[in-house]
Amino acid sequence: MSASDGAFLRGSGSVSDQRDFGVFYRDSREEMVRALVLALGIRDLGVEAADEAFAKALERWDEVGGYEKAEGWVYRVGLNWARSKLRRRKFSMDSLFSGSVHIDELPDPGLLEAVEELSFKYRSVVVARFFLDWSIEQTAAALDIPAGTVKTRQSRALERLRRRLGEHYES
Amino acid sequence: MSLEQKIRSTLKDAGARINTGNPVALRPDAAPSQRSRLRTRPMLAFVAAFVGVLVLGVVGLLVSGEPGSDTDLVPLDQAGLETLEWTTVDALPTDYSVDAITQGPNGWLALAGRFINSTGGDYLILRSEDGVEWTRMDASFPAAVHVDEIIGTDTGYVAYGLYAGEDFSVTTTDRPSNFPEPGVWASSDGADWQLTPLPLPPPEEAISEIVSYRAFNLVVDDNVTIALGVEFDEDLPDVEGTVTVPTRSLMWIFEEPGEWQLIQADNVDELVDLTVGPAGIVATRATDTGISVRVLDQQGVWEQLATVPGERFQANIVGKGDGYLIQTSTGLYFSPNAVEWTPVEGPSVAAVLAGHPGGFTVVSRSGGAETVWWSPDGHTWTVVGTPEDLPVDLEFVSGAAATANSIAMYGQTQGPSLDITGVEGFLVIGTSSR
Repeated sequence: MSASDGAFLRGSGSVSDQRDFGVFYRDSREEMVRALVLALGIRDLGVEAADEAFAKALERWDEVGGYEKAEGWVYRVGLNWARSKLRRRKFSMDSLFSGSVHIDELPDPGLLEAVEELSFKYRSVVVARFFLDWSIEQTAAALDIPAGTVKTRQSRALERLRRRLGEHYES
Repeated sequence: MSLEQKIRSTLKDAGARINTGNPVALRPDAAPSQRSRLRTRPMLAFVAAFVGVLVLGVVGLLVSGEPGSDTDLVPLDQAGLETLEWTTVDALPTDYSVDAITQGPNGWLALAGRFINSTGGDYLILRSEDGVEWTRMDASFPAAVHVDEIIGTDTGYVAYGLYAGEDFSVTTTDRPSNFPEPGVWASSDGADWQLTPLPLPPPEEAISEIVSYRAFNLVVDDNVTIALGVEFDEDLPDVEGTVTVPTRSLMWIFEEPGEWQLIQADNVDELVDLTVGPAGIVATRATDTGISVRVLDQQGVWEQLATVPGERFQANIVGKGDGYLIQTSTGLYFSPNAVEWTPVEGPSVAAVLAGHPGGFTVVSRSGGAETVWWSPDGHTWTVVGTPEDLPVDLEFVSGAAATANSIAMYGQTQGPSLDITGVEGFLVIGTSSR
């Protein structure tokens, strides 16, 4: 991060707190933005959700910084923030990746489209498990749901994807 | 390659192609509100559409206060707005708008909010002893996401809105939705507010797996408080076009001493507005044949009293000590008892409808022009002026409150809905003496 992009970080606590949050922010922001864009299906919303969640994390860094996986907290807060924002709007998946990636360039655009068609509760688990590579337990902790629910949602999501995509994707 | 492996590689590939943008400047003194670009009120607008009430953001407050003891009192139906003396008071911080004004045992209170985004806002309370001198109170609403309104009572003040935990989730219930939930804040003085969550149906009785709730009206009558709300189905398919959101109406009741109770009764459906008057707590309900006027009986059942001509979703009602005033799609109607209704001779279209101890205020709007009407009794109506008589350039008046000798009006100076650059809040005070 350079000064030229206007970004700077300044912690509210001790010098070590400031450095810790700065490292966390620098190391995890891009991955969190991408995860939230994939889970939410709207590029700008994902970016804004990540920014909101990181800002919230900074405000509570004394607590959040002590979490074993603060990324999970940011992921959940970003999802909650975005869902609250979208709760009265219908949104289109057409805006996914707009201006940043051409879906046709993907090796398997049909699979991504199928993931996008999953409902939010399944997609948020799929992104946590297969994009972020979080364990069942880490996903459960991040989404604040029981591990059994993560397993169930993952299983149903895979089932729906297989049904949608056909035998070619049978494992 | 297994499906799981294929998903993983596809998501990684897609994720790598996402433009993540530049990191934002994060400062501990820069709350998300300072960085938010959107200033919309989609939920409020939706609730407004649902209940048929025009809800608009406001940035201005105009008050004509109680004059001093050495000043002759002027009845408001004799005092044109242009005769009042108005002064500007710098008690409202920049970006804050006035959302509600009420009176209670600790004087006038104004609720002002700074809208952050659809996930919440910041709120503050201004207080005035006499309606003239206003100061900001050291007050906060615990866990508030939205505070929709404040209502003065005989013993204190009540507010309602949405609350949530620090991470935007609600921790008091075990629901998959994690949306902010409706709550009521109570205060004896307007400074110290205590939150009470409104009880919700158990998850197994919800209309969908993913639901949200909102209270949209609250009235207090002696020791009974009634709130209306709605349950929204949020588990909607991702489809293009207009979607009708399934909903269910809810009602809560609080009777001292006691706790808030959720009342699930069939005849709560489609209640639109609530008020208190000589017949007690009265509600309007939209039906295919007109606007049904109902009174709450001792058993908590809404008993039909009358039907007023009108179409669905325009059935605003206000009450005061000696009557009720209804605005429907066919005009304004007055009733002393909520049973017999007569058309009002005077204003016909009310953009603002307010009942006070001293009378009714109606702001009628036609062709973009507004006229302010006043009636002490609901029968005789007088034009007291237009917003042009006020010392600020209001696009429209969005609310009013008054006593027998003082009146508060607030309005908006800029367009509603989207505002990217922020608005300038202000507070203007006037006296009703002359």
